Amino acid sequence: MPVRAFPEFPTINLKKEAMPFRMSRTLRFWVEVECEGLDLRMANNREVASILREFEGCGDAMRSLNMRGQVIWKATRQMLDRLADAEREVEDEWANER
Amino acid sequence: MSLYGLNESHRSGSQKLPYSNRALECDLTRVRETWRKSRRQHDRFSVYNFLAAVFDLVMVWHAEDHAIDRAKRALRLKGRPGGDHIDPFAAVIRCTSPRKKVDAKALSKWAHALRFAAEYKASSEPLEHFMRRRGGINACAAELSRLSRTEIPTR
Repeated sequence: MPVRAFPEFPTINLKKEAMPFRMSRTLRFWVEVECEGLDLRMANNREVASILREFEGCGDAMRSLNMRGQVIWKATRQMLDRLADAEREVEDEWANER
Repeated sequence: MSLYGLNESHRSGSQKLPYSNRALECDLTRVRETWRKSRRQHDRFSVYNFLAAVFDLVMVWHAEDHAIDRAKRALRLKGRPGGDHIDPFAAVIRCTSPRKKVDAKALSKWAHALRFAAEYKASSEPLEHFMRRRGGINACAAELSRLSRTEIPTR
């Protein structure tokens, strides 16, 4: 199939390796926030690694195995609870302002 | 068959990050918290929650090829005696449960049952489901002892 038939899919992106860290959706979002909103596929792997280690060290992220026995990273219950609390506070503030 | 049934592609597929003592401490705290919760439930099956937490932690260590040295670090961190032969499951149980509640016999039985699950459980099957399907903790522990003396069966 001629590559030029699909000019909207630049082949240069194929050179970039897929993200080396498998992550849950919630954790990925917060790692992206730490990377100043950068798409993690574009981020520096070292930077992502250091953020993950930081999160892990303060109990916000943990290593786990997925159904296929591969190591993945996910947000801990502590982090999820804190996010839920923060969300509730914002909702309460909004309700009070109204 | 490889120990604990994980093949090489699964072990080498993940990018390995160093595992700090802070991370180890957090993991042990989470498992200990599961122990406390399971004790509060007063349900005879609640111990499976604790065993699942221990199992998950050790299987991650094993997938990263560091089960023994992390178990040694955990024992050192918690000031628990180690010995020459370290069983990571026994080490994590020892570090996360009080000695008064989990005696040597129970610890050995649980560690054996977890080793049996590590060898024969599919990744997709929950630990409790697997163990209860195989007759419970005692049966799993006994099965491992029996198998170590005889032929290795299929899953």
